[in-house]
Amino acid sequence: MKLQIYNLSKTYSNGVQALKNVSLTIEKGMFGLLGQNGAGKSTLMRTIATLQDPDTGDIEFNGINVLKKPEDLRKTLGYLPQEFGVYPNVTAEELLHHIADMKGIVHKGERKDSVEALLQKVNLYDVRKKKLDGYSGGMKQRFGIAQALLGNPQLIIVDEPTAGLDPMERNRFYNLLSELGENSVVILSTHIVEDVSTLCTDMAIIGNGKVMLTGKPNEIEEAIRGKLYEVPIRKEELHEYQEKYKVISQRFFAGRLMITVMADELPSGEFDVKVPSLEDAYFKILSEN
Amino acid sequence: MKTVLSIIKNELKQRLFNWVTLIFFLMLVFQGIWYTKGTFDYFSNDGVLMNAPSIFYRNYAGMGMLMIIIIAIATGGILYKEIQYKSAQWAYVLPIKDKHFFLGRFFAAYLYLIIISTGMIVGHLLVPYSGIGEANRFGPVVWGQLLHGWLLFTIPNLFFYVSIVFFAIVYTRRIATSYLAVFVVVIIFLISQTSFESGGGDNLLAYILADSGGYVAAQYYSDMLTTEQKNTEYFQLTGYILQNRMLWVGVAFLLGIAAYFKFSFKYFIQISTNRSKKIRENNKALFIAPLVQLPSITKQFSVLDFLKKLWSLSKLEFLNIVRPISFKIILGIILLMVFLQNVTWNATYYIGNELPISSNMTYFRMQWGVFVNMLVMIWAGELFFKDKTINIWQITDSLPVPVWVTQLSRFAAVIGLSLVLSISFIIISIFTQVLLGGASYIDLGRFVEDLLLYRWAFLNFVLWASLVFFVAALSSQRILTHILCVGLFFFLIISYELGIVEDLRFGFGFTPGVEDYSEMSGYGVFQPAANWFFFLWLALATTLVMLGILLWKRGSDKKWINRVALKNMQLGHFSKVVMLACFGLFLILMSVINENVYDKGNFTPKAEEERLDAEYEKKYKYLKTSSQPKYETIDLKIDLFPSERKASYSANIVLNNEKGVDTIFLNCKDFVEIKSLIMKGQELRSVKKDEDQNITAYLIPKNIRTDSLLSLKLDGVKKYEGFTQSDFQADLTYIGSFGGIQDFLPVIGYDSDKEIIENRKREEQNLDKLSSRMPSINDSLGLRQNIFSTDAILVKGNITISTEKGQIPFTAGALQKRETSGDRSIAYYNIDTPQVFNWYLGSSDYAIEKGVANDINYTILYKPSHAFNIELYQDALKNGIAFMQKKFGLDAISDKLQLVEIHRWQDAKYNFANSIVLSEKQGWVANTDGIQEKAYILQTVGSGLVSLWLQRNLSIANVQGADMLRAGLPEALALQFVEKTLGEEALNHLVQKKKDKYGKDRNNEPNLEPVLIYADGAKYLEENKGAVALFKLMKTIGIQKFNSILIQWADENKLELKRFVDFYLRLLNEVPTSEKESIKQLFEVVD
Repeated sequence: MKLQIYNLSKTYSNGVQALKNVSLTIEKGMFGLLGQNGAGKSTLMRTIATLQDPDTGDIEFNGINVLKKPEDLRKTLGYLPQEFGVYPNVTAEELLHHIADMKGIVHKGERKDSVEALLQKVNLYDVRKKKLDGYSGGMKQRFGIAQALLGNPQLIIVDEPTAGLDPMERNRFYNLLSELGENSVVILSTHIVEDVSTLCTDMAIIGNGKVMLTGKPNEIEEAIRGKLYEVPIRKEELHEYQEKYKVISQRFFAGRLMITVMADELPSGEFDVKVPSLEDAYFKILSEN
Repeated sequence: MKTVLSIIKNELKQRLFNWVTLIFFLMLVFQGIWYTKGTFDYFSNDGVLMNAPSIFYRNYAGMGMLMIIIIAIATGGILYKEIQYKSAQWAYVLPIKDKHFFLGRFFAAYLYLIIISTGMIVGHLLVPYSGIGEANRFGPVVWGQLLHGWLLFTIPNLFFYVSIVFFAIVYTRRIATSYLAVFVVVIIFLISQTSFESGGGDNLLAYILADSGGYVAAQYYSDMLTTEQKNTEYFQLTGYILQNRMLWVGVAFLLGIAAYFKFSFKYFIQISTNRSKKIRENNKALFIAPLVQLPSITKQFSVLDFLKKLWSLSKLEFLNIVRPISFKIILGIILLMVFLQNVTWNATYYIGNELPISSNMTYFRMQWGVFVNMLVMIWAGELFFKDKTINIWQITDSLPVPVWVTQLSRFAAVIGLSLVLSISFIIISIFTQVLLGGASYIDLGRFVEDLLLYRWAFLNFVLWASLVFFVAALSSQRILTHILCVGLFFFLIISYELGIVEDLRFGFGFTPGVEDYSEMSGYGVFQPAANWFFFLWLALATTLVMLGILLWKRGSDKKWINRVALKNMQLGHFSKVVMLACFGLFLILMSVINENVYDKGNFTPKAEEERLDAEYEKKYKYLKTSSQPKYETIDLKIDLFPSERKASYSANIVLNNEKGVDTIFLNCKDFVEIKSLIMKGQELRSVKKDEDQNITAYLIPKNIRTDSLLSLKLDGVKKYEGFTQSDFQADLTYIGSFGGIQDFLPVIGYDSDKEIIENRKREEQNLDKLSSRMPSINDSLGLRQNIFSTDAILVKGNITISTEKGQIPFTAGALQKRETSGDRSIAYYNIDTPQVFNWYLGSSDYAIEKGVANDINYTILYKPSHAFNIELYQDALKNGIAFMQKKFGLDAISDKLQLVEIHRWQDAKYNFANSIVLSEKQGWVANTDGIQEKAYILQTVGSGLVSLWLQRNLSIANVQGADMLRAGLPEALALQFVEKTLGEEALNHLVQKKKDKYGKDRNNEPNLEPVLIYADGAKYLEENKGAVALFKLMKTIGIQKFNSILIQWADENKLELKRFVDFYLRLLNEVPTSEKESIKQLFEVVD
């Protein structure tokens, strides 16, 4: 079970080049696609989900040429877009039944079992008879996950699933998403580093439409171990430190500005060695580009 | 106040200096010119200027389609933009008071529209330079009226629209409702206007008040103006206009004030989210993803599965449309309006109320069909874009369901919706018919044909929905789809209404004869024509639907090249072939229609007809004054084949050729073919043949011209080929054929019926203007011609007429015998005494009622299901015959009289040799409970009897005033008859009706209204003002005296062709001096 993306490029009619020669190989499991807003993640997701045509390139999933046979991919696809609406006057159960039917689950009994199981899985069973326009943002997101999982898809794409959710909702998502990668290819597109570091076994960082880095999160972290140092400074000293050192990120901590610096050796005595995180690696990539 | 002004200033600054505003403005400039042309064409009078104030007032009141679109697009956004662009969260917390904000935005919207609307004024000012008319069509610029009209109509109308838009948005917190509100207002206007034009005089006030723009009031007002007034006057803010303006400005204030008080930032920002719907999760804190195993499943994607999905999805989509309470409310309102229309509005035509027959119960579709069609189109557009609107498209488009399943299911739902609407219309119409007492004559077939087929009914809705389907796929934009589809629909409706487009080949979804149902003849030749046109549009619609599936943009940013490529499998290869086959079928059907309608000469555009008529006059006018033989005796045998729309005939004709003319010019009607023309055994040779004009000149050999009489044997055939889109071809139709004898036999010499009599059109064709439509009273040629025909004085003869079994033929003269021979039904008629040559013939599936009144045998031929008023007709005949015999002698009426019902496609009545022929709308289906309907029936029969007496006893010269004798005098004498039979109340009804008719129609006089003594053949004049004036004259000098002068004058020099002016002067002599001036005022002066 493998998704392969070859040299995918896409330029919109307004001249924005959203994808530049993107190539990726994604195996079974959770794959994190990390990038800033506007990096091209959603374009890539929509293209894989057969909703958009690339200018050039190819996509193959389990022997299916996605661009030539989109209908074959859709039979095995579960897609949760970044933003989506729901029919306001139908219940979650009705809409899931409808989507299950569309996904080819023609036997009523199977459809019923699937819908019920998923409603329980996303903990919407108690409100299954309620109309969707009364659902909160988190409930709608869970509904979105449920519809994506209907039909036991082999390729699952979730685009920014935690955007706009409170920490508790995000936590629930982690629980849900963690189950998904066991039997299928799951692509999690996000700009939140924690999402990837928590859930994914493989990842890629995308920026300006290009793949900047691929690998396993822990390997990426390891690659910068021993090269990160941090120090608290005053705000007005930042410029001076930037001139002097390779500052890859900055954050406020206890009212002071904490900067992270990348260097082969300890820059000076005021610095402390920092344990690397995926976020540091991500910032490093960004600062280099 | 400062805040309000600042908001207004800011809004106007943002909007005015914008290219969109410039486009809006230019659109209105264009509309100012375009509508001026349309309104100008409506006024037929030659003297109306193209920049007449009346035209501008009506343009302002109508607002125009483009102005309405601009209002809909531009107004709501001014209040709603913070919500739309999600900036309300910060904008509404600025230090501005809610009410100031509302007022600022309200007046900004109002002022913006006012400023844009000046485009109409600019358009009006540019009219003289636009090239739509010649310089002499324009008067000086009427600055005052231009501004006054704008102030009187545009300014209050814009206030109303801004109020209703703001009201709708504030109360619903949705911008879509403002579009709906504007749409509903326009529809009510359209219904009011078309109902007003269709002759619903009884509900005039209702139509005037229902139209928020005041167009109906302005139309009514201008209809009552003389040409001079149209060209100069300011509309007065009185009467209907005042009532209309007060009502709608009042409504606008109420709506505006209601919205003002309702609006607050706190309320408005909620954007219609109903907090009460929010669901609480009780176990939120405890949530962890339960370890639930998903069951194993089997997935199936066969074609059969997709077909099942199509069915289930169609059902689901359909239920989603019809289940919401909003749908039920809309449907309920529509049905209530239809019910009220059927109860209150009646096709008045020439008479008063009609019985609740089924064909009257389906007529509402002419107004409501258009409205419902638009509603269905908008519904369809919304449904096709539902997933995009709700933003669930990324989920649904990535599902493994082919486009044809999802989109076709929506199309099927629209079909279901259309069917529900149409069936609801049938149910409410039948209910109304039963309620009004028409249960015993319900004609289910009529309901099915009119409301379930393609005459602004179910199938039209489906056809237009298919166009929406296609445009939606093509444009991929919801609003653009609505604008394009509704815009095209409006454009076509208005273009056909104004006559800008005549050719139905350009009218997607249009079929011929939509509103031309006749109780006698059905849709006649329009039936096959409509079938062909419908199948033409069906083939195109099927192509459009399939193209729609192929091109539907699944997902986003799909490349065009991929959408149109062969490899696009949204439509399978087989389906692509079917689509091409459908398009091929469309082309084939188009070529069939081309051949049958256009190549075979069944349709000529009006402009071409006028050109041909002008050409005829230019080429053959000389024949008018050159002598030509005249008909004297005709022995005609004519066989009608209605099912083939064919007649073959043979006639032995004696012509009077006292001037010894050597060349005879024969004008034939279209589709007539003279097979042979033999004189004394010798075939006549044509020496000139003009096929464009259907005129042929034959040389009469010298050896034949031995005396003043020529015996001619003519064999001819008339057979309509193909079908038509606009001409009834009523003389040979399947049931209820009726035509003139000279629709078959040729007109000899110059055919003056072809002359263009409207001066404006004459000028366009470079013909001299007419000072009168008839020869002057001293015209020597006119004084030698009979008013009834230029190629005969008096004619006698025999006519044998046969038709297909199941129908009964009739023609002019005294019926000698009827018989059936084989599959032919034959009647033998005889005209012993020479008669004026205005004969007709016909055939239908008649029922016969016979009777005798004062030794006069009469026969009534009528549609079997129209027996409602037969007794009343018999009474009218009996009383009428007795009246005539008493007043004009025992031989006043010839024996073997016939009264015949015909279709409604031609004139209301015909009187000729022993025959009175009345259209089906003349009372056969009238509700005669009231006195005015009884009086009307009595009058039409009485007028017919007088007319027959006059035709036999008075020779009328073809000069001015002739129609006072031919049409005015029978009507006046019939008033005598009605007064005597039913009394003064009945008389007053009829007199008032005539006065009203004259008052309304005189303002559409295309030329110059003549005085009565020089009346020149304008129906509104002689039959109405003329008849009332003669009746007054009668009363002034005494009825007895009037009648005896008439008899005496008719008896003097019986064969001499007489003039009305002489009769008038003789009567005037009898008028007491004190009354003379007032009588002279009536006959010799135009008010």
